[in-house]
Amino acid sequence: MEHQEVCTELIKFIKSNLLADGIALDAKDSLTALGLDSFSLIEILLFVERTMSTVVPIEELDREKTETVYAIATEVVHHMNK
Amino acid sequence: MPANYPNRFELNGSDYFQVFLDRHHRNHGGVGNISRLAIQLENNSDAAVIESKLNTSELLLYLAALRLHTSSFFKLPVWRKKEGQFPIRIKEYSGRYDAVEDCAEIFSQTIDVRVEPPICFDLVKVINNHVLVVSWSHILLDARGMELLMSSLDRTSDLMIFPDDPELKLPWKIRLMEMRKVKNFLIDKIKPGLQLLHNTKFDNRIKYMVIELSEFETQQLDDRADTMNVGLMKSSYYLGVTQIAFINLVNQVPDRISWVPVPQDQRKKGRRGPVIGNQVSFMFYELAMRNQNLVQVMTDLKNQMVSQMRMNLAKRYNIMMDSMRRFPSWLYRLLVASPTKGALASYFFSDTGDSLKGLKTILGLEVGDVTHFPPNSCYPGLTIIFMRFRGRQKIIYSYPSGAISQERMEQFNDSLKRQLLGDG
Repeated sequence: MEHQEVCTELIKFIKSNLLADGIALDAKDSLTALGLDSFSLIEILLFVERTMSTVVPIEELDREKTETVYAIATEVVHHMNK
Repeated sequence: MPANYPNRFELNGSDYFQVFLDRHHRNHGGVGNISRLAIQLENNSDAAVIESKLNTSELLLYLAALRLHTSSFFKLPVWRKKEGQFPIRIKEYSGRYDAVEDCAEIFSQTIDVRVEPPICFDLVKVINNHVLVVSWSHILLDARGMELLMSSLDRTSDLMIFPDDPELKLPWKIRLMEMRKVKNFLIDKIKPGLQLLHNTKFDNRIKYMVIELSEFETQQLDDRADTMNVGLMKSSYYLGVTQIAFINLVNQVPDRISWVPVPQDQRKKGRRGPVIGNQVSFMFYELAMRNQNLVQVMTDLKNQMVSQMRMNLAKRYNIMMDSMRRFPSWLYRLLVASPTKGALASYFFSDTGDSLKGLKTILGLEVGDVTHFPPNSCYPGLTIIFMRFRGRQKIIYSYPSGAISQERMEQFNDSLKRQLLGDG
């Protein structure tokens, strides 16, 4: 999967499962500013595991690597290609 | 009063559980399930001015007019707006207390939500300052709901007051299947665990202790967390550190376990609300009562967290609580209280993070500091809250004063602080 494709899937998941209706989300928006917490991020990682067969170990992530959809997608692609 | 505030609305499953906890507190001589938020107001000590400002809020006046109705047979409990005007009155306490938690008059106040407003305000004079204390029934609002309310009183148009769709529309067949899965985890797996505190003849007064770190110490705490590579798991780090201090408190009982419910905010993100109702579910962590290092404790917590999220436990637990509010109260009490014999509720942990960081004013009054004072989780229990305000970490805990000595709690206090700052 390409980075852009991962971003699109993540945005789709976050909008339909974690965000309130009508909240816009761009790949470079701050997820913390939108109120996403560590539980939300684990839900995103579990979604990645289920649908993209890729495990991103939570202990390898920090605030910077999970601040935006773009950053998370970078980690996902990195682990896909490992 | 605005027409869009309903005259009545039902309690959700989490609210109904809070009704159960409220009764449990009162049956044990406690004041009920009451939360408090202490707000230090800068440059303003005039109760009359504060009172008049609070009375300009239509939302606060609406909340003050609500009363709980639970007696209707076969009907769900509801909040109803009582006819008439219920202006907010501020009581003043000027005992020159060292800290707000020393004002026993406030912390021994009860609120009977069937006949009294579920929210009230007091003003306490502490050294060099005045603190506005908001007390409210946890049946009406959870801590996040109160944070949202107080942060948005200046502009309630931004707030979502009520949930869009409070009713879970699920067929009973699905509800029963979900309840069974939770039962398999919660009831069958969890055996009555360690009882932290003696269950009989204890002084029913709840005491609060507050650890307040300076900005420097908070930075020290963050640096220590960074060296442990906690990343996103800061709350688990706090829980792990607390667990190590907790084991010291109960003198280690190697073959026993304790359980800690950790709330998970179920509000959809990106919106300020809903304010009304308990919008939380729970994760339940098993804590081994043996000496472990912090890395072991945190690895264990992470594994439990991921495994419970994988099985969707928090959502399923919500469905179970929503379904159970339709049960007769005797059956509800039996199902909630008996199987685990309080093992799930005698130790409670929450980390509210820096969710109040945007709070600068309340109705034009400048805010200097804020502290949460949660209700005690369950009699007898230990409740621990982590929160951060303007770069300073606070840890607040409550316990029944007769069940454990102040000396032991001070030892716990020292041990926890040492663990947090890495001197332990």
